[in-house]
Amino acid sequence: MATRKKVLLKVIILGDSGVGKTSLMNQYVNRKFSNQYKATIGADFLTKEVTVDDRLVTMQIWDTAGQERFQSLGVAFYRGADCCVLVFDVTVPRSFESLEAWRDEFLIQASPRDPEHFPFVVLGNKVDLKDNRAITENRAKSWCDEKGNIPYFETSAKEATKVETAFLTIARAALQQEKDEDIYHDFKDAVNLDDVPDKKQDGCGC
Amino acid sequence: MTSTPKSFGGGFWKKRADGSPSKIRAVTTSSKRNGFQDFDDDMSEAWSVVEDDLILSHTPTTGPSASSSTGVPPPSRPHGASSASPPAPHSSSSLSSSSPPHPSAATQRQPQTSSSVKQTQVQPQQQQQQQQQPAASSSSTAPHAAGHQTSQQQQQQQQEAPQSVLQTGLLSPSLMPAPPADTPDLPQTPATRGTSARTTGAEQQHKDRREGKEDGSEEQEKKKQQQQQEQDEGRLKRQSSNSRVGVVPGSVMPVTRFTLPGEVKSRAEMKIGQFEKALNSGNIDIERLKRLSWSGVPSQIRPMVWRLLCGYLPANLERRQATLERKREEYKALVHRYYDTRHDAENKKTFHQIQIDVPRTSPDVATFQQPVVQEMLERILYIWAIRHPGSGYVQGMNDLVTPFIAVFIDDVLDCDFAVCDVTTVPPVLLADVEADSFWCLSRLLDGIQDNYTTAQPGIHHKIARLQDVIKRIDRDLFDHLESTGVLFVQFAFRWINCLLMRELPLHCTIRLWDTCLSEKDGFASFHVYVCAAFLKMFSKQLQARDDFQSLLYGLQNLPTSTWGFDEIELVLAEAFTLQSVFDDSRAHLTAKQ
Repeated sequence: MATRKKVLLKVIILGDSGVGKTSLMNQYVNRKFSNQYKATIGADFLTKEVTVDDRLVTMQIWDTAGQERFQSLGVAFYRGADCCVLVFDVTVPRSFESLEAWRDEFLIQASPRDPEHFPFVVLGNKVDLKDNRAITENRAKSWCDEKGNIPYFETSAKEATKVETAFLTIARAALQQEKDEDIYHDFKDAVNLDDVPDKKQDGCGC
Repeated sequence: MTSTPKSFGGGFWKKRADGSPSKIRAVTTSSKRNGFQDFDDDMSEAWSVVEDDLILSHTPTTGPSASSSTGVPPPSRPHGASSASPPAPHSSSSLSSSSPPHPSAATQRQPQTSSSVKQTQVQPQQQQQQQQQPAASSSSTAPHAAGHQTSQQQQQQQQEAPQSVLQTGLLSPSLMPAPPADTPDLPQTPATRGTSARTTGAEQQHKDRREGKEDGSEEQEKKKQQQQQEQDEGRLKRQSSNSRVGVVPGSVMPVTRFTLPGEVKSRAEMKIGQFEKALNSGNIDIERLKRLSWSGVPSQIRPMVWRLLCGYLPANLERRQATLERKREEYKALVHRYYDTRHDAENKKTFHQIQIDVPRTSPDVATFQQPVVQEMLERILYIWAIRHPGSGYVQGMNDLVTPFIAVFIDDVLDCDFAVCDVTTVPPVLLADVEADSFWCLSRLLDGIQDNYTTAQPGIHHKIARLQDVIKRIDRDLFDHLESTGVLFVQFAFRWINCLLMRELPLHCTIRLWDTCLSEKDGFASFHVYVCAAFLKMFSKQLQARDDFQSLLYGLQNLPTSTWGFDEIELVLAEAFTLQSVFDDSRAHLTAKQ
């Protein structure tokens, strides 16, 4: 880490339709809540500059469409992500059950170098709707633990509950990923150099 | 409930778009509000040119000649519109240079405009001539055709033109905006419309005789009811709407209503007159109707014209009413048969998705927030989805129903669409609106099915074409996008999935659809050129954004919130030019692919 280059963190928000992805992003970036958002088509994005552990970073947050039909777009939008945020609606069990599929889909399409350690963060949104709650905090937490201790936050985009905290964790995770990528990059280069002589003397057809 | 007389389908979008000069003037001031400074500054500058001109051309103080000068008869094709390109930054210099066979639009524009100004004062036959010019009517027409036609007209009309231009003295030809389709209605406030309805008694009787007693008596009855309406009798109003809707598709009443007697006809009346001619025939010439509609359909007859353009109503007058009744019944039967399946295990997911999307459909338009309308949306989308299992419901389709509902519902409302309480409309009328919207949506989606099937190949194919067109017509922009790392799919996916509805205000979408519905494969093929023209319009401002983030943000938030018909018609004119160029040299494109 000799140079302190400007850091750009790419964050992807995934989850079923209507769980509040757009609202969370807008609450975090613009500190506003509106119930007038249209369904996201393709993906929208916003950026925010934040200071994480004394480092100024730019977060590029991608808010994606929730319908399965749009998954063919994944490659165009997920590539180069540093962190993936999985969102579900605590009042809709199906949206919680989809988390696994979203996670798998992301790993397939984004194909990060080290899928085992790629950072995810899970947000259980709409906790303000206490009366309709269907997924308990424990249930969500145990799923996250199972998947390799994914950090979990209970948020309300409407009331701005835990949104800031959650995104700070997301930024940290992304930053860590970015650093790891750099290291991996260097390592990869070294391997490539070694590959060169191999290629010269290769006799096989591949 | 409301003291203003019925607005005859003069929807809120039309009012906004056509609005008074003060409305138009708001373009510059309000455009600053959306936090899009770079664009706004540039664009408002460009628009202000148009704006001033509009104000001038619509200023009533210049007397009759002024009103006739606004009455540019609609050209059968968009060269009239293209003639109007103001010296906005998007003017297609690169296109004309990159497409040698195409006559330089710029050189033709000025004379064409002045001639069309004059044309309002020229004899009716000449309009007929112009209208019937077949040259530019088919999408495969050689690029010369449009140019040829215009130059012919120019030669013919230019001789008569200069004087009138000088006379009116208010149109700088090169600045003349595209003849907005519905500007004709501008001078017609709801009040004057009411008057016109009353003053046309003699003419209507004449028509009635021609059309048979039945229509005539209905018309009489309706007129009577209308007078009662003005005394604010809500219930009777509805009956009037009822009879109107029952008759609209089978007769020409709403058309004749707007024909004013007298020597001087405004552009509105002439345009309606042309539509009237086209619609009056027992067997409508759909091609002719399309030529007329291309440059915009007057809002009061749009409901009927759209039903015809969609292919939902038959061209044959005798079959029309019966078909309409049958289709409406058929839809009711579909709802009756399938709507209860929405909670079945295999359909639950689809219906759940629709239920999530319906409340967030056009959240900025109050009418779409009314439960009655939302229930209509749910049924339309659900029935469509289960009848098309190949694609099912895809997000964005909810947007595509709204123009139909807006246009058809406006026809049965007693008050302004934007503020009206839909529950005051009798359910039977709403049911018809719902059925018609369903069938028209079905027709529209039939043409673009591959946009919504698994992996959405249609959209990706169209994005590839858009990319290719941009590469050829605006290489600088193309290179700029490429060098900043912005992919077309990152912004154009939504454009195509929602047919630009997310990028435009509703009234502009409706105007855009007038044209797309008039084009062969309007939404499958022509629309790509619309997207290309739309993108090119912002080329300069986009190229000023030199990093990925601000560029993509700009692309996803183009400053169109203040757009009216003039802006969308510029896009359409450019799209027409592009289509002429590219469809004639399709080999270039296909070879590339």
